[in-house]
Amino acid sequence: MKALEPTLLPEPAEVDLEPLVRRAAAGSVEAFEAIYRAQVGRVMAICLRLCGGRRSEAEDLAQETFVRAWQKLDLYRPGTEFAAWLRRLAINVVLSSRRSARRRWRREQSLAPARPAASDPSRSLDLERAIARLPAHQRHVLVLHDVEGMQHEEIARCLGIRPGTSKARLHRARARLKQEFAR
Amino acid sequence: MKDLQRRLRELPRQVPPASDLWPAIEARLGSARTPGGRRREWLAPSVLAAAALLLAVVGAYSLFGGQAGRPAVPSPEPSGVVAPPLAGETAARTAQHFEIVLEPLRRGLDRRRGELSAETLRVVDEQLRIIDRALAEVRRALAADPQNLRAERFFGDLYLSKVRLLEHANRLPAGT
Repeated sequence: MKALEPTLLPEPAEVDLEPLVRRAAAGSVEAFEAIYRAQVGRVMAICLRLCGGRRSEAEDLAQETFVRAWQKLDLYRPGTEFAAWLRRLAINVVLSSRRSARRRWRREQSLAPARPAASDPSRSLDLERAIARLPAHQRHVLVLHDVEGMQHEEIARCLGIRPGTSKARLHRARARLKQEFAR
Repeated sequence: MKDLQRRLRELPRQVPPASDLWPAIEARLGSARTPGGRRREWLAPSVLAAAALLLAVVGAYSLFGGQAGRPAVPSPEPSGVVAPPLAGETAARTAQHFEIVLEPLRRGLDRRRGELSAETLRVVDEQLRIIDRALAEVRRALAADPQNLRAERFFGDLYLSKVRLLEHANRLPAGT
């Protein structure tokens, strides 16, 4: 499994997406490419973390996210935050892909128990690896809540679980990470 | 636990793909539909000229060990090119953002000028001049057509090349 690598790229300048979305919705591939350029890093980060660090799978899902975004642009409501809409779409693409790929999911479960982080736990790369080693159901909640900043109610809707279940999974995920770094 | 949560919040928000996903995405858009059909926005000749310059930069960069996908480079010497004011708000923000990133890299290279060989400095400075000329070309294209998205994107790519070049130059071992 290829682990996440922290980006060395500077944060891109904030791009006003609304005019681009309007043009893309009217059929401009150029405008949609500009949206892709501005958002691919964010979409890729979400896909990669939810996938447990498998880069090629994450890239396939990021690609799928943008194709679906193009197809669904007319469903986007202007005035709401487009980046958040795209993020939600990426999450749905990853989760639906995982729901339909039972064999891949089972393989991941069998790989989940792993050796603890070997080096300085203060480094984000170690943290990324530790997240990737979490069981998928815990990792999804942890990434969506603690990294992406989503609320339990929204996470519950995405994952098809109850908010209480989301809270319990988050608690277990954090405890597991804490335990790993305490070794 | 609070430290763990803080570190989770501070994880990088951007993870670039290993390669550009756009060509594969664009190929798939052909079978998708959107209201109004699709249209292309073609590059102005001056932007194509800048693209040729960037290719020259990339070629020269690879000659002295640059790694694709790794941030690098800045530019110390003024190119002597007079750049027109930026027309588009997004391009202006891009320039402002990258100038902030570039400033410490330029200073870093200036501090290292005594450590690097004359040949290395000549190559770096030449590449910086090429990038600056290309930036000026794209500025002209944007002045003529502020809605030219491809020029706008190329403008950002050029700045990123400059950052990568300077970062790389700052990492070169002494005596290189």
